Amino acid sequence: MLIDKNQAHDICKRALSFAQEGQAEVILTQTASPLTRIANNAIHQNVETSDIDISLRVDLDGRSGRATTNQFDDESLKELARRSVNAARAITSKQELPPMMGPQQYREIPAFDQSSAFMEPEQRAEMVLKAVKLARQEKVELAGLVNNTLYATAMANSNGLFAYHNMSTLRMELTARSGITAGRFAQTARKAGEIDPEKIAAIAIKKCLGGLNAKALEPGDYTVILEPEAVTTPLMFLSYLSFGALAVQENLSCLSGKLGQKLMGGNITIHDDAYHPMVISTRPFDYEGMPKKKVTLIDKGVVMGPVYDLKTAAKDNTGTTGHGLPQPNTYGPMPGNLVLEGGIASMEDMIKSTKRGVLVTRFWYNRVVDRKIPIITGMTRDGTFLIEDGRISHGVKNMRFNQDLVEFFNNVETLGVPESQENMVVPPLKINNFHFTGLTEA
Amino acid sequence: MKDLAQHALNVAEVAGATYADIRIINDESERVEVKDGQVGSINRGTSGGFGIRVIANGAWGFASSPKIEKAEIERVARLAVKVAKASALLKVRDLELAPVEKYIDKYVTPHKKNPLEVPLEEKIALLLKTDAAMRQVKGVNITESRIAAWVEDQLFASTIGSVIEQRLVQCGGGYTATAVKDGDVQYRSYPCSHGGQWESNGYEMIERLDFAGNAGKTAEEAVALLSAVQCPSGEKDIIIEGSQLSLQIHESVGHPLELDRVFGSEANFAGTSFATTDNLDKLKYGSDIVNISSDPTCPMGLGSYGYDDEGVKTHKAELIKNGLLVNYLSSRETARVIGKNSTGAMRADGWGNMPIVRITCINLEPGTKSLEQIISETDDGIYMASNKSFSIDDRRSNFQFGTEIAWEIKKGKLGRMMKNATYTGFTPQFWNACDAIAGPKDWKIWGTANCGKGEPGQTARTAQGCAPSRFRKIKVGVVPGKK
Ligand SMILES: [Zn+2]
Repeated sequence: MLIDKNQAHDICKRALSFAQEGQAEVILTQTASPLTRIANNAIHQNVETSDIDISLRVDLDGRSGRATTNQFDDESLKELARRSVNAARAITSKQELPPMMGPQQYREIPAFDQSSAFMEPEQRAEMVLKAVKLARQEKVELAGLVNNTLYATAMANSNGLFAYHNMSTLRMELTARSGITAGRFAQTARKAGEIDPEKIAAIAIKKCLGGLNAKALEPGDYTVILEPEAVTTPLMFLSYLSFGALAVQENLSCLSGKLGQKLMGGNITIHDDAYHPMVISTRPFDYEGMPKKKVTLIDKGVVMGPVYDLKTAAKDNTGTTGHGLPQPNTYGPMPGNLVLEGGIASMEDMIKSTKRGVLVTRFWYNRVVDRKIPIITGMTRDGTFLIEDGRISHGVKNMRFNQDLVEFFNNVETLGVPESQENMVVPPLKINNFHFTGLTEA
Repeated sequence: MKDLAQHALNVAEVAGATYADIRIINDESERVEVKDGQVGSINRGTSGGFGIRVIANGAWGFASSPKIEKAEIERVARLAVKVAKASALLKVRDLELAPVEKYIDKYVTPHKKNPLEVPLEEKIALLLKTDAAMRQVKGVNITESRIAAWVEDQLFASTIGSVIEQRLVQCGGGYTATAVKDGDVQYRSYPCSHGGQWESNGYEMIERLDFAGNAGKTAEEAVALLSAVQCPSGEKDIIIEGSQLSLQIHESVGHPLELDRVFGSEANFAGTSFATTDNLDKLKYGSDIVNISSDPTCPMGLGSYGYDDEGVKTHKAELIKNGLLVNYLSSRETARVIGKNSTGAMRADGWGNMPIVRITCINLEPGTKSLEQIISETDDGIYMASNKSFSIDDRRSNFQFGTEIAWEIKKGKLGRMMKNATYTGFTPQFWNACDAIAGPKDWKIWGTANCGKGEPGQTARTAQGCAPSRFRKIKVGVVPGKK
């Protein structure tokens, strides 16, 4: 059952009513995420699960405590308030706390659809059956999932702020396997009917079969063509390493000291835009209850500035952009919906224009090697191919990369047509001098 | 509570389940953080609920709810059976499980001080004192410290007749000093990175760690790293410090030996394993001195408990014996396929998730020499400590690790400090290059508090016991530093 706006308002109001000292703020999140998981062409895990999380912050004279519960009867909420107050009281010296704001105006984002919010396990099994039928014909094995999710988020505080948003998605991921070769495709949509299990299976299977008998490439610098799922990796890292104001203020970001300067290629423009029509996972307010603004982070390669929450904005004498996380916290604001502006090239155009290069489906086990530059390591996975003379010639064994992300966004030769990737919108990219440093065995 | 559990099992059986188990759980947690001289955040959490797992028509179904009430338990039990019947629409064969005995028992993590009963004031004072000691060191820019604790009360009941109550008490913490200069960022953590040391233990473990007493040295090392030499590129003999080796064991022994993963259950997410079952009793995983076992009975291991989440009593199980692969981390379902009994590794993240095979407490047996002796017998090498980055391929073969700090070893002596140290290799070749493991004096169990696996994603707390060890001719310095 979805907690609607009125119910959310009631729970928040009750939680606030038990916090009788200082200022209080409540964040309520509800998640229901039934998931059918397959491996080796069979369903091996199948779960129906849901939870609600009520988190109460109490500020007493510059000291802030938080407690969280998943029970919302009066007794539990009373105990929640008692624990928050106790936590705040335990603090001996004052904290720098952002204020709790009054009521705000929010833009509506229609992100909820009955068809993805509520599905029966039999419906998910049917989707999987369609995909597995194809896999059996092609003698490959599918692993993957069908996952429909509903989220509701509400916020309220003792200054009268109240916000509510709900959202639903349906996601299907498939990995086709034959021996040690794998191919993958995944899709997320708001309307269940937009997910086509046979299409997802066909792409995953084609990648798997096309990658059989993969050859080893010598590590080195290559031109790469990255599918949209692979492009989300560098952007995700920039999101939490570089694009938040605290990282910039702490001199830990590649944006630090570079405001107004050219940092990336002239063809790179990156926004954070919760309202972009192609963004699927989104919300019109942050965890301080502030409306999200569209923020241009990089404009034609030039650093325009990070995203802010109330605390970091005050420090830079500017306004919040609505990218705060639950306060107080030690990590600062972060973008949630990166949009990389694209071009008009199709994947086919990019392949055709490539003399020798590597096509990458996605990256895996990506980790930070250098915080500030930043350098990321990881590996290709689930469909890596050599391109020779404008066409895909054969599968190649997966490779490890160590890549400077600023250099990466200076080496983009072509941007393709943007696609929706859950919380982001990204085009496929063709990039020169991508650093593969090692080889894997599959 | 026991009556409710029994009722759930009855409802599931009436609805068509041939096997059912239920876990009713209350999770209590607390996290205190200090950053740059101020309390960063405090969060006290509670999460209650139950999960019912059933087999119907030969397939698994699972459903859960945060509402522990009779009517809801009935709804969820029937829903789990409905889900299982939907799973059965696409099965290869009926599930078969390795046998398990019936247990009526209670288990409590051995501990003295319940960490949630230690006053917050005491934790805040300790962290502020530690923070102040770090900030006294000139050149330190950011200081962060934290203490966290979890107490989970769990009731497990199954249609086999088992009724098991467990109270798992876990806590830990640590801190990091960050130094930033001219575009270079260096970290040093105590007692190790990734938040610190985590144990199944009471608050006495925090007192034992002497946070404040080690803060100055930690901060000084962070600053010293800024002017340290870059780790060279090439092949070197490396000695790996305990907490870093613990993560190496976690990533390149623990995960590849999870039998569900070996069978492809994680192929869409966490990946598969190079150590397929045709390697059992054949693959020389490591050198003769490499002996690794799963032992969740170990005191203080973060991955220690009395019974796993399908009612299997914990016990020691050898995984690698004299370098040879002899067993896997398994569940009742997966162990049955290789004709063995479960090693008791099935665990779920809280009440809302279905158990999957997890790393338990896996231990590399100690050798005989001391760390000093191993260093003294190394002619040209590098000593690497405290993890900074970790990455391994989806078959758990090619890995690359980076450490916060390293020291050159020349003619048996520790020399210059080095920064940005990295090493890379392939799992079996690497473990076969192990030629010295330090003895019991340097042996310790390290906790990993944030192991991710499964869809929906589940976080597990695991442990790895080890002593610093030497590996011959390893490729180091794989990432060039900033020009
Ligand atoms: Zn792990």
